[in-house]
Amino acid sequence: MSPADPTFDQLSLPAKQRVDAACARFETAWRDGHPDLAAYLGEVPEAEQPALLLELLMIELEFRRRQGESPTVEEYLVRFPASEAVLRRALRSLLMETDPDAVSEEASEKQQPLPPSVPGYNILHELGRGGMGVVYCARHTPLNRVVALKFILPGRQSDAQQRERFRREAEVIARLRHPNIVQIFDLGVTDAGCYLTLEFADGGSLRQRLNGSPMNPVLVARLMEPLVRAVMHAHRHGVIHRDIKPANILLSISGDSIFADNRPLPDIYTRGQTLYPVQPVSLRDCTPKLSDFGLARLLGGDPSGETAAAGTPAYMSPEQAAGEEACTPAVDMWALGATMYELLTGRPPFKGASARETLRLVLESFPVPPRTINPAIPGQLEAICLKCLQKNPADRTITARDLAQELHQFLHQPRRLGWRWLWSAMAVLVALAATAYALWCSLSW
Amino acid sequence: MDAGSVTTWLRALSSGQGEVAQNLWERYFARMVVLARNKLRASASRAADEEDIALSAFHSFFRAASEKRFPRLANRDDLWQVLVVLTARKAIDQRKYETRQKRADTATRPLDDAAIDTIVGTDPDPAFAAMVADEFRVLLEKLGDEQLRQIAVRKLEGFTNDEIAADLGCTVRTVGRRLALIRDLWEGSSSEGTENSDESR
Repeated sequence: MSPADPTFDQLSLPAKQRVDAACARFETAWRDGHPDLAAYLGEVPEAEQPALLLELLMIELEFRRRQGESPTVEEYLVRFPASEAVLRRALRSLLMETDPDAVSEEASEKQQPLPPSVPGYNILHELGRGGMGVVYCARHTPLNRVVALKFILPGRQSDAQQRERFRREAEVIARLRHPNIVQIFDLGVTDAGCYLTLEFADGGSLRQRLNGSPMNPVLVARLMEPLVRAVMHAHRHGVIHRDIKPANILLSISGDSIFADNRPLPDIYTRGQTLYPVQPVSLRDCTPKLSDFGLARLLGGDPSGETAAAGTPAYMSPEQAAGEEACTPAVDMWALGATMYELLTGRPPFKGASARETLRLVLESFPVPPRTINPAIPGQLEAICLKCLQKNPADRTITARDLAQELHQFLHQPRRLGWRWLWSAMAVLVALAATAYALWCSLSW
Repeated sequence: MDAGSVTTWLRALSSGQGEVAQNLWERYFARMVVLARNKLRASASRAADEEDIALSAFHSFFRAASEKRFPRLANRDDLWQVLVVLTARKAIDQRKYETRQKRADTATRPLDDAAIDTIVGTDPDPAFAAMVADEFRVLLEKLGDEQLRQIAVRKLEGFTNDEIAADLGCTVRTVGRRLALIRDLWEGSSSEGTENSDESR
């Protein structure tokens, strides 16, 4: 399908009716088995076939997802080699249904330029777009490996500044080698500007998993511990991230699980690269990976000419919010605390109506203790979290190593059953006994 | 914002005053549905009204409104918009016909927002509500296919595409595709007889 091919909405009414009838037959056939999509294409005139292919594909993907299958771009490319654009469009629509963030991007996509062409890479689809750059999912054709390609959007900085910024980011990531830090493979230049080739995390970002409600505290600790170890590794190598937040924590599904047992991977991920996760995979099965070192600095900091107040207000430390040249590990400790706070309570520690208001709150107010919002949070986790959210960097003495140790202790301490549990268990037993007695009485009548 | 009607609400929606527009629409919707239902009940009492799909649909819209489950005022593609605008257009045509000003090209003329606004009004007029009900009955009959009718009625009741798909046991894509078809069938039927229909879009 070329951009000139009409979609279903653009067809004339009789054409719509023909395509709709073919789709209806295809959908009925799916109830009895796995019909061959190609056999239905011939039911309509050639001009309507691209629109029909897209519709059939969307129906088929919906059925296959329901059945727990994981369709891949490749298997369809083999069958419809000339229809790569349709496949991509179907994939985008699939993303629209799965991820609300992708919808807003899709809506504004009309004004956005087409993906750049990069020699050696086959760009599959857009992963995300921010104020600074755009990231694509791409296949590195020589090695047949799916990667993330990160471009900086033109117009904000001069080419020379862009290249310098990218070179620095690439250098910083290349220093680090940790299973919970997104790896870098290459730094390249093309007509569309320079780009970074990064490890692709197939589970989206942690931000996409936040729904405003608190997460299970044990799961939070399990997610945070490897991240804190990643930050510890960065700090040990003199790298301060400066922009840790849920959107910069990516999730890898096919990677190592955060559970160290030998549970087999869900089989949908063992059959080659997935098109997109069929169903959202539980966070328990994801490996968190720290990404986006675009604002990172080396310890002690080179002032580098950029404004110091860079970052994201809700996760920014007070010293960053005040515009100080903050290049100490304490900045990252605050952001880890703010992220953990959000996972535990469902909202970031400071959230104003505007960015300015949020910054004012970060500077002036104290966070509501997490247990006030969610009493189910263990006191030990609340204390750990609040240690990171000390306003004065001099009081924020906790290091990544301390934090990792405390989380480890929390996760591995033997759990005691309190009196509350005992009473609940007794209440259940009494209720059971009463039911059994009542049943016995009614039967003996 | 002054109250206005359909086009004003849609304008408010696009200028970010969605909540105000939605409130006005909900008030309008609730009253129109009551009026249309009463009118339908009176006119259908001779026949077997239980089988009257339009009447039973207006019963369910009435139930939706009394349960505060209002259809979202979405955009021009929304079926309620299509229904209300089509009815308003018909009313304008009738008025023009009565005053012998009907032009031959009514089917192809652009939507006259101001004229539609006067017909639709800020408060539903019983005569207009009755027209909406009649037009709805005609439009449902035009759909022919039973599943198309079910999708149209459920959409007008304010259900989402996901809910409709689950309810009818079809894919979400099919609901979206068939809604586009319904809009085309309805809009095409309002101008039938004057166009060659095929490839005219």
